[in-house]
Amino acid sequence: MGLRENLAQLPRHFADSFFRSAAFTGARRQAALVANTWFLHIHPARMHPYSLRVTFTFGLGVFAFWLFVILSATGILLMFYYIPTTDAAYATMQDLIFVVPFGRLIRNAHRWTAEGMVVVVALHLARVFFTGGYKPPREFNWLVGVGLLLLTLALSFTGYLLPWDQLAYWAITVGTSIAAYFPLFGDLLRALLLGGETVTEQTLIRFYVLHVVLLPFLLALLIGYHFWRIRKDGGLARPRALPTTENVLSYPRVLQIELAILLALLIVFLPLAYRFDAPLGAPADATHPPNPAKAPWYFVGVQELVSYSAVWGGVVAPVLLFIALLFLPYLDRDPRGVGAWFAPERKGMVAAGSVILLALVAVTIIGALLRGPNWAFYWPWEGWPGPK
Amino acid sequence: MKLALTILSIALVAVLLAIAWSEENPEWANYQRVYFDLAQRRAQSSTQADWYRTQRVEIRQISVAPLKRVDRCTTCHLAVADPNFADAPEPLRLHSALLQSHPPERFGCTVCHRGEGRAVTTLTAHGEVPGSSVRMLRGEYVQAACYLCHAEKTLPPAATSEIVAGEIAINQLRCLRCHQIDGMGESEGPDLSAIGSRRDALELDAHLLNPPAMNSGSTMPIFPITRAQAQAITVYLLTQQGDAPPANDVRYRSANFRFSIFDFRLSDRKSKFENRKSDGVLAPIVFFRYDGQQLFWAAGCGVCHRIGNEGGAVGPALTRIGRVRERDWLRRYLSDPSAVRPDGRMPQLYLNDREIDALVEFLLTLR
Ligand code: HEC
Ligand code: HEC
Ligand code: HEC
Ligand code: HEC
Ligand code: HEC
Ligand code: HEM
Repeated sequence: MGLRENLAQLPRHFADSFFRSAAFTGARRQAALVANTWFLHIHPARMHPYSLRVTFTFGLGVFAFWLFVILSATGILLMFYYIPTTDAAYATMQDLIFVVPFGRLIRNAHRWTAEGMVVVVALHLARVFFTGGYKPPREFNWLVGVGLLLLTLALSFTGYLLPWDQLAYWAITVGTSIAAYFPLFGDLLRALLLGGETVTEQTLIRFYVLHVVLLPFLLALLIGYHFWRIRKDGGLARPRALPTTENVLSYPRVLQIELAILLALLIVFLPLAYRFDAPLGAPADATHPPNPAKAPWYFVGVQELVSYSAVWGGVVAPVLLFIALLFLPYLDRDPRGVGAWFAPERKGMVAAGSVILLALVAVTIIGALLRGPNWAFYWPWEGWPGPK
Repeated sequence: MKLALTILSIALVAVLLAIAWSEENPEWANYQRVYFDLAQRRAQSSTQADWYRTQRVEIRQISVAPLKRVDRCTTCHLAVADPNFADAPEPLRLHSALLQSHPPERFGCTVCHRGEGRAVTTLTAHGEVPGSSVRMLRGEYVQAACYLCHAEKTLPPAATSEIVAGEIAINQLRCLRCHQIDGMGESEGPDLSAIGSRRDALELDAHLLNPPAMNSGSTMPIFPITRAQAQAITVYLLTQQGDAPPANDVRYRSANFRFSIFDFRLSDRKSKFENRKSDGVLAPIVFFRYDGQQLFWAAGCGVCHRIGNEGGAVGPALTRIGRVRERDWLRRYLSDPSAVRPDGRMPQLYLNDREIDALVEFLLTLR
């Protein structure tokens, strides 16, 4: 074979060497394509059409994944400008917004996707719960999921401090003081997070390192594991009665759906990020606490509970909820009703889950929207007294 | 599916192009083009005209190192030191003579005017967007900044007329029977020693004119003061920054700071434009379009008036003002409220005709 021949065949040879599926044809080729490529092999080679129905998963897990990808991309762009010192942090945020070409867009996109990811991951958890997706053999993947939830929250929380504005400073002050309510190790946890008694430059650098190095790394690792487990656990949970012969090949169908979700996400989020500016308050100022000072919205529910009782609301309720999440798949192993939304066989679980979910949403809304100075209650139409 | 993917991809490209397109022509670039164009025509010599011609349209900034400030105001306010522009409209007018003792390249602008130095859009730079903590000081209010650097009472009274008047009014009205300032007075109301770091000019004005509106249930009396008195008191209160300036702000009063400012050699700035007279009338500049809605919040109407759920409660809600008032009435009222209602409490805001037109058109849409 001469050089000319090789040149002519270069694209095909390259594709073969990348996809490693030249030896096969037809359906086997499509399966090999997925199985033999590092990027794709994380998918099951075949999926059941039942699992692909929009109304079954709402694509929420894939949404969460793409949000993480967008966050990583925009985050890296932000890192080119951001300087994590108390002197420069706020100024670099302002420069990003005011003069860096497309800086405002990138910052907004990063902020809104971050908030979006918390919502989407929570919804995904709810969908897995309500479809019974955590039952054997998927118990462990549920635990992995709980880890993903915690990492997502931690990423959001550490990112919150970085702009070093009043919102950031006081939200982190409030958030970490909730952590201090824990008995025994609460104070230690807070001191470890803050690197001292109050939010200082030490805290900023800690949060920065957690936010851009450690947590994203762990999250990426765990997401990979989560996906691998889905494949090993036999795809998504579905009712037993369904025959397996109808399985469709993942390539190209599933990949197309995933790509479509990414495109749709970008089409929705970019204009939003262009139009709506992420908040940036006054520069952080330790001598002027705002009233009320609120934790980031996803922790404001806990803050609301703390306002009733520090021990019950700040410690007992969150810990109970966490334990319930951890033990759920090991205590509720009844295989009936798996893979169907709100299966009648799971009436009790569905009811309990809905009550807890609604209660969480309720305290979050009360805390975030209806609490004014000194944590007093105000209806939205009342407005708060005094200059805001 | 392929079709859907194609459509989505095209849509995404369209979105990206649209975004890139709208970032293309910033507001400030317009001012710069107009400025360089006019400046060339008004230049006194061909060397000067050439100098203007070679200037690039770009963001300009003054870095005030000892104050840790970066001011980009001169990105739009290009003519602060250009005597050819003594009669031009803002933002292209020559500054008052004060800049000769405080040259812009050393002091920047925000030390005196506040505002958001790093921003390059009008409202944000002026700190006149809702929620801003650095509302710009205009006109007489700028005096509030002088004593951040100058030792108290060392400036000529003419340069600090408002502060003087404000202090007199506070003594006459005996505010200290309820408030403390620097340790003097009673403590029925809050300590005012650092009030200037907590409240901006419009909030203070509004509070003085009608305390319950800013703080329902306030027990502070409603004093029968004029608008001018309120302004003077406000300027005086704004000078009260307390001993601890905001943590990340300049320590204006520290020895260090004084040293570095006085270290500046001011003599090297005999601007090349000095001693040149401006001649003739300037071509009218029509590039600044007022947007009534923006102006409503920027000019501070929102501090006293409410539209829907947003805004203050000192004055009546204007949510449906368009149904109640006619164009002519509004125009007369806004140009001088006291001429229409001699004992009304709406302040004279000294708006120019174009601002009034824009505001009136906006108010008429509120139905
Ligand atoms: C994007 C351009 C732009 C920037 C940046 C800008 N300004 Fe302006 N400025 C204007 C325009 C346009 C006006 C006239 C309209 C108005 O009064 O709002 C103006 C008016 C003013 C006025 C009041 C003039 C009057 O007659 O009352 C002051 C004072 C002022 N600017 C100060 C500043 C300071 C201080 C900064 C920097 C923090 C700044 N400006 C940054 C565009 C700008
Ligand atoms: C030393 C304090 C000081 C500095 C620094 C300063 N100004 Fe001013 N400026 C004033 C005062 C005081 C006035 C009010 C007019 C007067 O009496 O001089 C004023 C007036 C103005 C006005 C006219 C509108 C008005 O409100 O009357 C504009 C526009 C303006 N300044 C812009 C700027 C810009 C842009 C800079 C930065 C290059 C700047 N100023 C720097 C003190 C200052
Ligand atoms: C950032 C600090 C700062 C602020 C704010 C400031 N000044 Fe000054 N000012 C100075 C310094 C420094 C000098 C000394 C210049 C020199 O010695 O040549 C000066 C000089 C002066 C002079 C000339 C005095 C002389 O002997 O030549 C006058 C008048 C003056 N300032 C008035 C004002 C007024 C009015 C304001 C408020 C609008 C003001 N300054 C705000 C720092 C400031
Ligand atoms: C009878 C007592 C009384 C007198 C006299 C009085 N005040 Fe007050 N003032 C109060 C009280 C009480 C408050 C707190 C409630 C509120 O915000 O309105 C207050 C609030 C204020 C505030 C707002 C403080 C903040 O933190 O926002 C300002 C500014 C103020 N007063 C200025 C003045 C001035 C200027 C005078 C003199 C013209 C004056 N007050 C006279 C009782 C008084
Ligand atoms: C310091 C507070 C204050 C500010 C700032 C203010 N207003 Fe007013 N305004 C009032 C008060 C108080 C009244 C009530 C009438 C009276 O007492 O004469 C009023 C009345 C009015 C009215 C007449 C309503 C009616 O139908 O009787 C209009 C229109 C109005 N304001 C528009 C404006 C606009 C536009 C601005 C901004 C340029 C503005 N106001 C800024 C306090 C304020
Ligand atoms: C970073 C966050 C997460 C990502 C990117 C992610 C991604 C995914 C994806 C893509 C799926 C396939 C099905 C679907 O799209 O719904 C899935 C399934 C699953 N996820 Fe997640 N997930 C995340 C967080 C969580 C959380 C918080 C939980 C629960 C605590 C969880 C538990 C599960 C379980 C048990 C399944 C299998 C469900 C079934 O078989 O029906 N995941 N995840």
